[in-house]
Amino acid sequence: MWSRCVAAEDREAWLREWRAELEHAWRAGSGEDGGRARSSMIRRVLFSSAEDALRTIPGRIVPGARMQDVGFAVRSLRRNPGYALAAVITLGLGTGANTAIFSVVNAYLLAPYPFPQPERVVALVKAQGERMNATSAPNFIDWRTGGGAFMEMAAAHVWSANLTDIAVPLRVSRTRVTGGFFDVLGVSPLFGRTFDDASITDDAAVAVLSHELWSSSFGADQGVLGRTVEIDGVAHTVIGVMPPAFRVPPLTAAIWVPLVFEPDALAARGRNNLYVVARLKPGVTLEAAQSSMQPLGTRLALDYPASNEGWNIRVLPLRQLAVGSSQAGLWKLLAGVMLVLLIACVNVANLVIARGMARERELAVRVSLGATRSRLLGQLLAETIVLGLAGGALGYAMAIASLGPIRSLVPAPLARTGDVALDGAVLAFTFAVSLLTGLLAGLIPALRLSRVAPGSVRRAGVAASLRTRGAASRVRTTLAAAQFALATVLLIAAGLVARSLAQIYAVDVGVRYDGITNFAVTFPEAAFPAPEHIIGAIDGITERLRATNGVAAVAAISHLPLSGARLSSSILHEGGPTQMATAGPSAAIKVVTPEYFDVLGIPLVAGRLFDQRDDARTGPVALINQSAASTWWPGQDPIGRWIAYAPGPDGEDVRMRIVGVIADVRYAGPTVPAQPEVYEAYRQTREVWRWFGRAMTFVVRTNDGRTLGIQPIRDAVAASDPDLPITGHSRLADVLHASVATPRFNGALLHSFAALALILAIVGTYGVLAFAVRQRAREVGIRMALGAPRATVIVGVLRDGFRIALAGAACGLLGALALGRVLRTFVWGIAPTDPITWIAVIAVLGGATLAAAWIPARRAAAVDPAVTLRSD
Amino acid sequence: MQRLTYATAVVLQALARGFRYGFDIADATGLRGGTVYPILRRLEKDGLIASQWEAVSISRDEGRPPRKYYRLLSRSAAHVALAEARFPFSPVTMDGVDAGVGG
Repeated sequence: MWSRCVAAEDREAWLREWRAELEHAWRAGSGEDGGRARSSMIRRVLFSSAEDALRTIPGRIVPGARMQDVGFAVRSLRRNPGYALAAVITLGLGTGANTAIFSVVNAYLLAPYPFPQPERVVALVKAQGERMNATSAPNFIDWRTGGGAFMEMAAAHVWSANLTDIAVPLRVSRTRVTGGFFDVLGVSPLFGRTFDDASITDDAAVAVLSHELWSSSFGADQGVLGRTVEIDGVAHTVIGVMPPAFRVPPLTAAIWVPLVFEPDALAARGRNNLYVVARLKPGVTLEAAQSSMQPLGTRLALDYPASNEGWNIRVLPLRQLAVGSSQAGLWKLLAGVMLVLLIACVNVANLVIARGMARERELAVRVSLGATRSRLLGQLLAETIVLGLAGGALGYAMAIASLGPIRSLVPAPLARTGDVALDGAVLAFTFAVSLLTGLLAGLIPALRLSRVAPGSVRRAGVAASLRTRGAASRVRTTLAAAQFALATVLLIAAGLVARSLAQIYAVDVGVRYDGITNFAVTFPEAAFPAPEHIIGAIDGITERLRATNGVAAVAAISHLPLSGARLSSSILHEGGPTQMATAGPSAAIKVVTPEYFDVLGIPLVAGRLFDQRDDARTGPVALINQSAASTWWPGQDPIGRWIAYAPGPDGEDVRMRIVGVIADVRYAGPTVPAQPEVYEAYRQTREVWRWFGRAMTFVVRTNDGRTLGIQPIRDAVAASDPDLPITGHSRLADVLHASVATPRFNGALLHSFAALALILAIVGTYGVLAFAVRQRAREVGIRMALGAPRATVIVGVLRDGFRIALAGAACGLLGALALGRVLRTFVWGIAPTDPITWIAVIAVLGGATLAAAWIPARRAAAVDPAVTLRSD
Repeated sequence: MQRLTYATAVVLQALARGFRYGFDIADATGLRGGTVYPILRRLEKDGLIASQWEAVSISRDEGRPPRKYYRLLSRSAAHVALAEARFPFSPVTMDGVDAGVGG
């Protein structure tokens, strides 16, 4: 077992020798004492071989190092607990922060997908430069026909559905997939079966459950196979359950059901609602697959300009579909936290040098007794490696503690893709990082200190080797300045994110969100076949809620502000192009109840709001926002003009008359400017219900501004239909909070990094100055005896501190300037060179320097000339 | 050969007194087996001693598996002398005085 510790090239000989020993022990001692001698011999062989194997480890990590050095290092550190503790904590902070961030990177970017050859599975999207989009059924069929580079291609339509016929009705994610889906991914169900191209026509009403749903709603009952569940009111038979690890966003769901294209889907080339995945043929690279699809993309753009013009096909790794733009941010965070680690290493290196100056005598004695330089080097390195590993253990513990807060901060789109956990990969990372920090922190000091001259032992008493000391303090000063430089970069990054967040929160999104409770209800077609049924249910829920104690106002909208939900459509407008086109005017369509604008405090700019007159019997009307008005009719009055986006029952586009203009709302979040919006009165809506999935979000304002609990909501909804699940019950303020989750995540982490970095830099500089003061106590004493005032002494030390900080900060600021492009991704609404941030950072650095230098300065001033002069 | 520790010295002394095999050396020196084997390996790597698997015929005659034996090479003489000089009162040398082993 422990032969693994032995280097591979020596392992065979090693095993052979110890096997012989073992055999020997086995044969020997089978005497009359009942084999006691034998077992003790065997035990001796086993223990000896284990020790033998373990002793080879240090030599494999650092050539020439020996177990003895490690033991020596541990003893030596135990004699200096203060020093050891400081170093371990410093390295622990650095390693811990790195472990925590690496666990995030590992969970989302590195952990392999749970199916065979995940790197062969790719996603195909429509692409226009950097923009990417899902595709439509006709496009998918053309892609599949022309996709010679792929073994199999499948499409997935990701949506959600009401799951009923179970204990508590649920709104669950439901993915409709074509037959090849499970083959592309190559996953088998945990039990039961899935469906494929051959069986899909017979399998129209079957469902495959996720492990999670099976456990939570079906009590992990194996008898679930063959059971019927209702999905949006339609009965489906459960045929299989997927394994727990099968989580491949955005394709995974609570339920998978077969996707067979309806004739209307096959006709709608502009309806981009499908994710496409494929498995590359053996030997085909991603690049080859990409170039093989290029001509097809060009042809589709020519053949179907209305939907495909300007778009091509892009083949990308599946993970990119899931993680998207978060990827770059995560890597940058890891880079940021590596800076913290570097600072920690520099700090410990400084500590080691300082201690080394005090140990000069010991080292010199060892040299004169015959220790070679490489032996000293090995011993000094063994010491920092022991420190590094101890720091690693501490860091791992800190990472475990920080897992909870990190999990709660991870932005939702990422969180769906995996679980942040400390697994084997993370442990290996921590171990490697600890080892590396040990080496890194030890290398410079070890190289310096091992150069001790044997003769220096004689001089060690009075003014021990002033030359070496001078050089060593120069190294230490440089290292302290380097810490300041690194800390400065992190401070600037953190400052920029803090300022950006402040900017984001200061943006007026255009709605009042304090004291608003929201929740969503989806009306499945089976139970609510006609618009009248939905309208009736909305009215019923609204009325009942309005009658609830404490409720001031109730309204409903199809797409809640800040939630990210959006229905975009090409439109026609008076005076605009006469044909709809993807490149033509478009708007986000929203269906609202008349009270919506009042509940959320969205002001009317011109005309009137909706009222109860606006129903199916009156002429269709619409409200637009200011952006729409200024885009379509710049400088003109839009009231009374028309727009159209949907065909009526006769196939003719229905012209809607504009009756009012309302203020802009930033629906997509504070950082995204308002787009043209069209509001439609819920009583007039017909076609659109289907387009946005028949879901309405209710917004409730309470009299006292408190959140409305779930129970009155449940009662109100159940009165309309007890099978309707309620989703997304929260405060609107939380929705806003969630919409800025990514900058908050970056911000929280960068702030902790910067704080850590600053503390480490302060401690490092303090160490250098304090040490210098102690070394120069004699000089200071003489100067004071000669009449130097205390103030001069204090200023002198402070000046030394500021010299270190200034040099470091200058390098750091230059570095931050050079990193402007990297920093830009963390920033919104300000430039990476934002003067307020930079001035604030410089002020903080000044404060930090003062903090680092003050105590040493006071100590220098407190030197008693009489005492110092007598001391030698 | 980088240094001469106590453990290395007594292993050299034991080899010089004719102990040829890992656990024998451990018994003679009072060192743990896990300490003796790495030293033997290092000495071998430094070219001071050589190892050799016992001929199968011998071990068969004695009804046991073959052992790996170590012996000093001539270039170790200086090291052995140093070991004797530096640690004249080790368990190995004392044994030698008391029981007359070796020589």
